[in-house]
Parts: sequence; structure tokens; C-alpha cells
Amino acid sequence: MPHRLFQRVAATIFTVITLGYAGISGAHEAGATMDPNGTTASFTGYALVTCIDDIGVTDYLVASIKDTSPPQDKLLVSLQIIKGSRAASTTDPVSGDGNFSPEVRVQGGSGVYQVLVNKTIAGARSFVVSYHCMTASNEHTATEIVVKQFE
Amino acid sequence: MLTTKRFNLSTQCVLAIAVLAGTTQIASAHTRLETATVNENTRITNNVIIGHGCGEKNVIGTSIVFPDGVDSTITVDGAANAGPLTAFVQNWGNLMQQNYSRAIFSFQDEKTDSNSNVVGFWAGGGNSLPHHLNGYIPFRSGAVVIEPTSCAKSVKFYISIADICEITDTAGFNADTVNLWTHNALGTAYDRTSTTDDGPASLTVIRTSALPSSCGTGVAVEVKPSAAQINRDMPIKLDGSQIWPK
Repeated sequence: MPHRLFQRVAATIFTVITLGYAGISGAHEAGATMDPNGTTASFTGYALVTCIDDIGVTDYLVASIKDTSPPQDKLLVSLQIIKGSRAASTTDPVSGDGNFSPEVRVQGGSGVYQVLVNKTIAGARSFVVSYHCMTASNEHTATEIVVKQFE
Repeated sequence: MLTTKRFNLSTQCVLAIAVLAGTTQIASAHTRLETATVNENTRITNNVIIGHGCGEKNVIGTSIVFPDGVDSTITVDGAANAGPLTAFVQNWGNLMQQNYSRAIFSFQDEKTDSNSNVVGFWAGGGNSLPHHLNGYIPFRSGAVVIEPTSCAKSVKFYISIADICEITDTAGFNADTVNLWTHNALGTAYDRTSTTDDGPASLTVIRTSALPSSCGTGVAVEVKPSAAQINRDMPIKLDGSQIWPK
């Protein structure tokens, strides 16, 4: 009987899980909504991306950001990569046009990169980040991410 | 003829003893990781191996929690350490990702913290795992990077696991309903009843980079979940509804 209960509950919830996953994009893309209440201009997302040498030796991390909310004047989203003494920044130049910002890369080898996302003014902003660890010959190496802050 | 009968009798005795001995061995097998030791900077495919059911009862689900490293208890060579985990590990968090499999159970999902980082996972429903067989729950064990300026020669993460044989509330936890491979003295309802802290599985990450010269032979770091995390993350919840415990 308990087994059947588990089955029933899990079956019901399975549909919800499937729908929930629709909001999460493919591997090495992550999306969310910054400043959901629309009151915090300083809203910052902070993540660590780990590049692992597997099919080759990691040379750099490349990333870009795309604003997926409707257009809003002067509300732009940006992304920065930092590792050691090197950093790079990119901004999606057109609010809500559905296109990614120019790619930026930091040539820091394997290891842990800091990645920040932020925006120009207060206002809820949905976005997608694309991030990839790459070899010097542009082959994809293993990539992990952990979000440390989103507020 | 007599010889044959004697042979048969002897064979039966031997087989019976072997089966009994085997059963004893299986019954004592804790739920553990297939690969419990891994070098830093290395990603592997791993499995939680469920060793047995609750007596004669099959396992109908499992709940697994990794320490989140936020409010975890850290020891260094056995001594309490109040520092942050980042003093020893650069990238802990979201590293253990569940691999989809319906080999045993039909349903599964990851458990996440408020930043959507995976802190554990569960599987259950569909077929049950026969109580006398091993069950493999697959996941990807991500690459852990030990802080190169630290003296850590290894970092051991304790993993709390509940193998569920019957869905009950926490008051109904007993040897017939759940096998708790958890710490014995956290002060939670999920604590294992044991005189020694022999419950949790573990994953030990071995440093491969050179230790700073001031470190000597290095130190062994261990990470255990807080009671608050176990209370928060051990239940199986989906869409706000708790499946287990009741």
C-alpha cells in the first residue's frame, strides 16, 4: 500500500517536474530573473564556473548574456568573468531583442572562474547566460557551475 | 547410493551455511558510493549502491543529501574548525548531478537550495528494489578543486542517505520501514540509531597539487551536514508537497 502511494504521488508530480524543466535551458546555459520585485538596481548574481581538463587542456572560458524580457529603455544586462588577474565584461546592447551580447573570454586555463551578472537600473529582468570552457583549439571541456549569490 | 545420499546431504549443509553466511554479509552492507575516493579536478560517473532492504521488505525509494558547505560542520585532523569551507575547497556546491535512470525506480529528481544548486537527490516509485539485491542510483560526481593555498591533503564529504521501505512519518521510522545511513548524533529525526557514527556514506577528494611548503604532510579535512540542512533537505518534496516522510 505505501508503495502504491509512492507511485501515485510520484506519478502526479512527474508531470510537474516535466513542465518545470521547460524553464531550464540546455547544458551550459542558465537562466533566471534578476530583481524579480523590480526594486534593486544593484541586484547581482555571482557564480563559480569550474573548467576541467578532460578531452583536452582548458585554455579559456567564453560567455555571453541574453536579455529575454520585453524591451525597457535604459535597462540592460551585463556579465563579467574574472580569474586571477584577468577579467572581461559584456553587455547585451539591445534590451529585450532576444539576441545574445557579444561573447567575451578570459584565458585563465583550467580551474575556477568567477562570473557576475548585473544590470543598469532597477527592474525585473529575465536572462540567459551561455558559458563554455574551451581548449585552445576550441574544443569544449567539462564545465561545472555553482551559484553563490542571487540577490 | 548411500554415498550419493551422504554427498547430497553434505552439499545441502554446505549450501545452507553458505547462503546463511551470504545473507549475513548482505544484511550488513551499508549503502555506499561505488567510487568513494576520487582525485581533485576529476569528474566521474558514480553510483549510490543500496546494499539491502529493510529485513525482508523491499526498498521503494531513496533520499540522498550532500553537505551544502554553507552551515556544515568542518573538522581538520579531527579538530573542529570554524572557518568556511572555501578555505579548503574552491568550488563546492552543485557538483553532484543525478543521472536519469529507470533501471530500478520510475521517478527521480534533484533537491536544490535557494540558488538552485543541487544538494541531493531522490529516486522512488515504480518497481521496488528486491531486498536481497544491490541497487545502483547513478549520478555524476563533479570535479572538486581543493584550495591550492590550503594545507588540505584530502577533503571527505559525508553523505546522508535514507533507503525507504515503507512511507511513514518520522515516528514510524524503524528497521522495518527505513534504513538510515545518516549521522547518529545530529539531533534530527533522521539520525541513525547507533553507538558509533558509522552511518553516512562518504566521498573523499584527494589532493593532487603540491602542498605549500609550510604545510608539512598536510591535513585531513572532513565535512558533515548541519542538523538544519538534514531537516530541510532529507524529506522528499516536490511542488511544495512532501512525499516522505508523511
